[in-house]
Amino acid sequence: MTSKDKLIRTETLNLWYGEKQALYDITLGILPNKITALIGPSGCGKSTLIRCFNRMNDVIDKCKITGKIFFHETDIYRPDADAVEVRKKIGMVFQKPNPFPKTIYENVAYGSKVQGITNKNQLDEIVEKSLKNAALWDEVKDRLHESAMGLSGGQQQRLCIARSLSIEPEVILMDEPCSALDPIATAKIEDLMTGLKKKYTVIIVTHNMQQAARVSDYTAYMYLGKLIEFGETKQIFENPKEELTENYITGRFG
Amino acid sequence: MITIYQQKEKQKAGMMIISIIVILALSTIWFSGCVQQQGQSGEAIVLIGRDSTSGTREFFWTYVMGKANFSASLLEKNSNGAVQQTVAQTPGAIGYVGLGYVDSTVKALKINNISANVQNVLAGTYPISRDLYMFTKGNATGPAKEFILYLQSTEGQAIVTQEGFVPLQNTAHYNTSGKTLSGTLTISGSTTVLPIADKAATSFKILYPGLTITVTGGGSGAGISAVSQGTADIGMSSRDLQTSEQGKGLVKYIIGKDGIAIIVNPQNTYAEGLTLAQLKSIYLGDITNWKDLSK
Amino acid sequence: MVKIFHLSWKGSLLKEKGMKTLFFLSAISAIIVIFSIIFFLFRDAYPIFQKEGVVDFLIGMRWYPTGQPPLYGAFPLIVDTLLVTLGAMLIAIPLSIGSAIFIAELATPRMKAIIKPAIELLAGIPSVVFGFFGLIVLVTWLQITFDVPTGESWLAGSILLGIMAIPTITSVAEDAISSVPREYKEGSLAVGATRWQTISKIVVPSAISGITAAIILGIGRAIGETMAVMMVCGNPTYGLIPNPITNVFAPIKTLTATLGIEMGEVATGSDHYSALFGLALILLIITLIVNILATLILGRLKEKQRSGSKRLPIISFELAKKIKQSLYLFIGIVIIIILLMAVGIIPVICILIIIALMYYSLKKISIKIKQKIAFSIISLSIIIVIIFLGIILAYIVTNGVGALSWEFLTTGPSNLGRSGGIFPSIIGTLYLVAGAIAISLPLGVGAAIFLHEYTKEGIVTKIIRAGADLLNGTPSIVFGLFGFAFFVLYLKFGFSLLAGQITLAFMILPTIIRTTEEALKSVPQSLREGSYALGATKWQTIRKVVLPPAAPGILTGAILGIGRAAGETAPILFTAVVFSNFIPSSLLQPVNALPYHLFTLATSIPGSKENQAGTALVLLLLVIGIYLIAILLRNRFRKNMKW
Repeated sequence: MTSKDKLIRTETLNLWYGEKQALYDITLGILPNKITALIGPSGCGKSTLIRCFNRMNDVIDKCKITGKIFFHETDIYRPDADAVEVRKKIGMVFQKPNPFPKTIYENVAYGSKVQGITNKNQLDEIVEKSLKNAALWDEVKDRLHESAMGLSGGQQQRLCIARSLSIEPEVILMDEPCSALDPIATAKIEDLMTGLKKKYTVIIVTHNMQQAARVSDYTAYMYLGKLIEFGETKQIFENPKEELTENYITGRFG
Repeated sequence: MITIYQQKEKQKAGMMIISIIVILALSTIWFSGCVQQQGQSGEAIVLIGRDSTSGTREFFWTYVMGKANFSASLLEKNSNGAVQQTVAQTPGAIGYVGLGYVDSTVKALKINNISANVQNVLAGTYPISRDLYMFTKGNATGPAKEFILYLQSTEGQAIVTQEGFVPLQNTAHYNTSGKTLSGTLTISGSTTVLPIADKAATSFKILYPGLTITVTGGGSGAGISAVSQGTADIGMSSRDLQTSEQGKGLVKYIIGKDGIAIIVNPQNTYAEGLTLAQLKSIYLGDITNWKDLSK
Repeated sequence: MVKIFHLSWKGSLLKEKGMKTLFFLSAISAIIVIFSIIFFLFRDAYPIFQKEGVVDFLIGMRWYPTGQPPLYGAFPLIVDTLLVTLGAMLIAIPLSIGSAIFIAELATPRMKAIIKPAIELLAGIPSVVFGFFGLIVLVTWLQITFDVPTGESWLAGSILLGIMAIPTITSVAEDAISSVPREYKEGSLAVGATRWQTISKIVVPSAISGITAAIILGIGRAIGETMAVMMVCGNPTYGLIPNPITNVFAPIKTLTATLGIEMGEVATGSDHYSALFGLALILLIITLIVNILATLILGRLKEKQRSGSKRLPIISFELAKKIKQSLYLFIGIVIIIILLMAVGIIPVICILIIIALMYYSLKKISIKIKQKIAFSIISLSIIIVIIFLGIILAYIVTNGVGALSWEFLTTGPSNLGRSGGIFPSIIGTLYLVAGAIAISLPLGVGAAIFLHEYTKEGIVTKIIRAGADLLNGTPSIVFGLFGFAFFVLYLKFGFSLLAGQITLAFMILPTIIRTTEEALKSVPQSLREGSYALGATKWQTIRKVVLPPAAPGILTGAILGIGRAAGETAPILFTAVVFSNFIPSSLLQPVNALPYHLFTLATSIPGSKENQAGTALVLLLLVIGIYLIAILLRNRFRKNMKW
């Protein structure tokens, strides 16, 4: 695979929180329409890395970044690049389900509304489509105008996925999307991910190695802010090249 | 190629800023238009008076107003000093204060063509004057008695004169005759009498070093109620007892006289003097503009 | 045999019970105080209600207690109180919310580290200092700038009250905005919303309950504020409703100002005296209504946010929307009609055109430009706030620094305070504050311990908390009247240090209860359980395990209380202070205090300008210094409290 094939590509990415360096010289490429999993022990920088892809670290004070991240061969950290435009193309689902304290409908329609869509029919359409894509439509279609806070954890997380789908991004970043959910809800989300891959590129951070093995096509193993190994999931799990990776996979530490 | 880089939108921003400025300007013009209707500030009469429990006000109300109600636009101040200060700050203001409060920051008007000064009050020609009182519960005894005697003496009356009030006639010198006083003496009440009592207390303490004296304002009503409740030894007042205050065993001592000066702002060029009738019309609210005085 | 019965523990059991009773007694003190306040106000107000009739008292159009016949109509005073509060809120709410958004969302960490404590410090400026500034500078400025007969007006009062309310509203609203979970913000940004869209559509709506609380707190403060309004509003004699009602340059007379002016001189026991207590009762009831409203609104909002509304909505979503729309339309029409009556047809058309133009152009412009405009407006609001407060501080410092000298601080006043120093006032303030804190600290801490350690949330805690909240919302002048009726007259303390100390203690009691409870809450439950597991009794656990880590928090509360007590004038006005060169040697003697000294100099002693500014500066430095200590302590304590 050449660099042209990669949808997102980082080049010697370094990141500091204040004085503390969190990422060291990360260089990797993400292929389109695949699920890429980032795994590694707590504090290894996988969440930090995924938040770089849609410039979510901009929100955090004292965060400094060097190196480059290309999306469609366009540098998203160039001074005149607009983080808002980046985030319209690269959506994100967070660790804890974070629906807004609004109705279900409002939650899904929010992204379209902030981009200036006011036509009610159009919004209705977007809401229905996004909820269907997130496999939530049947459960909530009768109570669209009730508060999203009344949904269960798994439903809330699928609502957040619907919310990020509503603006038709190309990439969906998922930061440990199942860590707050029970096994049944997790299974539903995993099914959903496999379906999403047809239309979207998915990057998922996960703690759960079985999950990475189950759903992802590619896996990156990170340790102490460094990218240790990156390759096809099968190869990483069955035949890791690096000793550190092997130790982690086999559960000898982590 | 995707478009994530910012486009130039300066032109639109400029338009927006211009329109905001125009809107702000328009509203400023409109607002100042509204304000202009208020008219020339120095011409409208601003009535300043004392609060409803002041002895000065009660005297003024009885004597000048004939117990007719003040105009509703009378602004109340809770001391003579406040009245004087407000008149000094406000071009169109008129107020009434004790003679002692007249200084260069305000202009005292002639009343019925008589200047407001001590001589004219003494001579009985200045029309608005009244007595100043000290009240005690029962006949004064101990430090209270000595203090009142001191005030009524030549020495005390010198302070009365110094403070710009009108002294009593035919007074004698005060004689300590070897007396010593100790304990405390609490004096409170009328803000008109306050400067006299404050000064007298200072020199009285030189005569009797063992004595602690507290002098406080609050107004005639406060002083009278304090002395009748026993929280003060002497109550100062610029008015006589009201019906509700009688029958509580209070004894009255006159310690001087006071003229009520009618003061205006020094910038006021419309009036040098008023008749009592004019004064009444002003405080009734019948005359509301200095220009109307000459009519 | 294992002894698990109390028999062998008699001594310590007795102690446990004793402590609990003690804490319970301090806890109900707040309720006793609020009920005694209501009782004494009502007792002394009753004769006038009986004589005039409650309705006539409320709707009477003239307040003229010394007229013949005397008139006791509180209506204009009530209207004026509401008007001045309304004006103040029109000024304070946009500026405070703008500032709060700026501090919480736009400021860099370094700016935030400076501006946030600065705003909190400004909340401590005593109202008499504002009044002093208003009387000398603002009133004259208004008179000259707008060429009106007198600057003492509704507008002057509203501006001053508005500026005074800004720090309070800003810091509470900022807390609310900052505590919106970061997840909401990230969720919004992740779907491509701009920062402004995130702030306006997610952050502010999520914080709306806290912001509402901040505004209502500000309203309560403004209604109950005495000294500043008394000094700048003009106080027309009968109480005057502005004519037309939009004439902001009309002098007005509020409930608090009427009490402040007339209470000191009224003959005790007269109808007039009783009528003043009637006014205080009205004032108390208005503030109670505001407070209860606040609690209700907050409760509703919280419930709405938390619950997933399991209940079926009574009306359908579509219908609700229609009702909402027609309500907005109705409000809009009402506003237009009011404007029409107030300013005439041409300005109204101008305004409508301007609004339409703005609406149209806002729709046209891009999201980014909108963000720029919004951020400029927000930055502008904090700049205006800083300029306002900067002018006041600069005026007081530049004018006061000339008077400041060692002699000024260590000698007594002479020539009625025109010359000489302020030593007795400084000592008096220290005496008052020391007594107040000595009384309120044990009561407040005991109450908080009872609330947090000894009871489960239930009806008892609810009642006690409600009592503390009501006490907190009670205007300071009402405390003053209560102190006068109860301590000065009923208990025959006279104008005395003791009466002032207790009155101030009651006023700061709720602050101490609240801060202590916060401190106790921050001690993790696991620590207590650890102690119980070792066989410690409740009181042992509280004394050895809970109180030590909570101490800095309690101390912060105590210092805040000290700061508030040092700056207040109204509660001591009728209970303790006299304007004199006098240092009390017993608790039953009166004192002079810094805020009262300043008030008297500024309103009654012409030609004392330099000493006025000097006193204001000393008072300001004292109170701000106390608040600074509290804030530093709290910040340290928060850092240390990471468990």
